[in-house]
Amino acid sequence: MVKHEWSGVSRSADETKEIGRAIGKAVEAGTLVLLIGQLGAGKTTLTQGIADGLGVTAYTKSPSFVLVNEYQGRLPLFHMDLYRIDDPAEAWELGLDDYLGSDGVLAVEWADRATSIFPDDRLEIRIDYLSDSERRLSATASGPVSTQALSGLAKAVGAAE
Amino acid sequence: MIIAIDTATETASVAIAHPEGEIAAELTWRAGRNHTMHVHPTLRHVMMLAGITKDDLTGIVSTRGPGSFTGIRIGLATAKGLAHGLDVPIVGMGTLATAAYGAVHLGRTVWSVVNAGRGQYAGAAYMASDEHGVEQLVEEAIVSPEELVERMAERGEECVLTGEFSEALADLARDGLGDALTIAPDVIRTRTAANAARLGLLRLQRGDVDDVATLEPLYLRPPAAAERAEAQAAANQ
Repeated sequence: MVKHEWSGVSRSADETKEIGRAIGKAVEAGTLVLLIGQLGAGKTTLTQGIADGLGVTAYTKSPSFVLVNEYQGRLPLFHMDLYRIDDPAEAWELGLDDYLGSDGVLAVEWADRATSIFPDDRLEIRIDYLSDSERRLSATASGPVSTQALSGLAKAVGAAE
Repeated sequence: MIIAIDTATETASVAIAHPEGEIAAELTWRAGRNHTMHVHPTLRHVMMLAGITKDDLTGIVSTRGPGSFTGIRIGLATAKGLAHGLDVPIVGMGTLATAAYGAVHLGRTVWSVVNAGRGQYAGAAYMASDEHGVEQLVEEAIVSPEELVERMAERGEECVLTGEFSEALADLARDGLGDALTIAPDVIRTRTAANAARLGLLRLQRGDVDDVATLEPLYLRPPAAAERAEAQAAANQ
């Protein structure tokens, strides 16, 4: 399968949010966004940007303690957090397929805890620390729906470095 | 009086039945993803329509899957809460058996399916039974549309397809089975809590009840997802 990639550096939480906004504007129904990065990397900030780009007005904290939050924007946004799961099967038991089969966008934090159970067509975004305020964001799309979101991101934020 | 709750898929339904089987009230609606918001007000409403209060309830029936994870859990949790709080027996019914019950009077094998996500279906086969309402011929399994039609064809018999499925599956089944296939018409295809109540009553009358503490949802995991999850769990260790 052809994979499309984009990577860039964010110099602040605001820039991370701006990148999220670009994703939120580009996504179509059924997009799956997997977010991978350490505590404090900016996964929730990025998701807040996605929500903003989708036109969600009432937002949001990291759903670590409730596992799934639902927001209404241009499309529904489901925000899932796998921080507390031990076994990938638990993600499945959260009703993952209910959200995947819906008309919304699913953003999953700590997705690396259950990478194996997600479908192939997904926008995977890895966030790495460069310094206290700087992060490298590396995005990979591997299917038609996720590629659409990635193209929108690349167009809005700039070509791959 | 018996209350039956079925929120296993986007179609949800609640019903009140007399212990002899007569349906006093039933409400069926397209719940989408909003089962949590709808189910309690609807239960109150259906009890009002039947002219009863919760203290008149002598048994609880709930579907337990397969279907939507969230939906199944909401229905079963609500049913368990009622059974536990009112200290009355509970019976969990299969979603596919409940859907099949609407079509077994046609006198053929009934294949009952619901969407299992990722292009797959949960399917099983049933026939009519005087004692149990329906008897299961083929156990619930997650299959692709092609596998499902293969399994239907393998039995080499006239059959009915019912439940929740796309027109694409209906076409595939027509191609694979020809004249041996009847697609259940809409009038008997919708899964209803009234049918869950009727099936559940047959079990309650026999004293074949479930334990409120141990009754579990019937989540069917797609084999591929199960295998991949197990492999990752092993690799994580």
